[in-house]
Amino acid sequence: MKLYFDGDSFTYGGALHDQTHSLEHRWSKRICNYFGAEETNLSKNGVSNDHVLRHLFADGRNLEQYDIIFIQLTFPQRFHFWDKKKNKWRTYSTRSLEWSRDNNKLHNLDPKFIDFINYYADHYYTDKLGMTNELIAYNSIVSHLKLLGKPFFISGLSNYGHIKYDLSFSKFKYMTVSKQDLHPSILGHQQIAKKVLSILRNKYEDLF
Amino acid sequence: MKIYFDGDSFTYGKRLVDPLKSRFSKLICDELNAEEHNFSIGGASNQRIQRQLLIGNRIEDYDLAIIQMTYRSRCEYYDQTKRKFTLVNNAIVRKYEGQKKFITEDHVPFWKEYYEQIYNDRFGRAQERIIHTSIKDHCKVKGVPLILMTNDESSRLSFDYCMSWKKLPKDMLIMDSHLPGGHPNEKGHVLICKHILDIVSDIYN
Repeated sequence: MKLYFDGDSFTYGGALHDQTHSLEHRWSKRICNYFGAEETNLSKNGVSNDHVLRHLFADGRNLEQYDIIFIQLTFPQRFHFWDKKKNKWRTYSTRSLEWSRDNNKLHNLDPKFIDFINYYADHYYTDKLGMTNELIAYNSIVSHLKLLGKPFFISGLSNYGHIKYDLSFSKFKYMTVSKQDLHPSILGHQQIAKKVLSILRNKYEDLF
Repeated sequence: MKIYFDGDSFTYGKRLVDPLKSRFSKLICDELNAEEHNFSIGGASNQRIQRQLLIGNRIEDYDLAIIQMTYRSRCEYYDQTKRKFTLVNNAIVRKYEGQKKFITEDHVPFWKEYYEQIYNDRFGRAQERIIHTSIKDHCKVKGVPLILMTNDESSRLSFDYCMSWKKLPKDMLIMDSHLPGGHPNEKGHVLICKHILDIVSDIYN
């Protein structure tokens, strides 16, 4: 049995990694352990929903080989772009920019690019745009996975609340790393895995 | 029978004397005795076409979807002041002449920066592929037959029909300062209609 996971730090186990804990503790691994399954986890800290869509739709990945697909959508304030100089996909986020402003920290970004994001955040990003983009991403993924005919589970991080995710992290209470860092702690990952399995059991009884 | 059409100026019938009577969507519907629902607009982006299909309309209420994707560099954003999505077009940004339905002049420097710093072909092609898959999946899952077309001959994706100006005879085009090769004229729309009807016939036979 093989399980597919994609998302941002919540699925990657970002805070675990930061605290030098093993990724063996992350909720995706715990789900795999439950099913005795092999884990494919493509998630990455700080990525955008485009990252997940790109993996699903544009990278030619063979999803047929997986028995259950777990997708976690993130804050729609994040966007991806192809960095020609660094030859890789990167993310910019109006959200992390707010965080950076508050903390007087700037990520390793070109000052000209920071100006661009500042302007984008102040003049172009709106809740309407974010909600629209998130719903389009969600509907696209649901259609794709329905056609694939495999069981799937979609969770979400944003707090707009306009999408009925299988699990919404903004509504679910789990143990966080700290008051400042809302990533799940080891116990939090355990709680999430338990919750995901319980929802999955209701959705796909035959899997259990 | 109800047919859903979306696309850019090609599907809208820009430059025709009377687009509502002579555009290919109307000709197809006349031929099939169908109701025409054409949501296209000049300068539309693939994002707009995807948005209208996935969250703006209920495709399951239609019997057939005929969708034309466009140039991948176009995009849109939500203008809070105007309370509507606004079209952004690389060509317009480069040569801004105060076109009303596009961005206003004060937005031009930002979008110039966007096309210089963020947009590149790799990004555009990835976005185009995501939208292409999403349109196909959505129609399939809702059980609506789809004819997916483009007017961008540089696309590497698979389409049922490419209606690029490069593929139309010169006497079927009307020149346009905003599109290098121009738009299809009345004769061009008749030819496009004929090609699409052949595809419709393959779907139903």
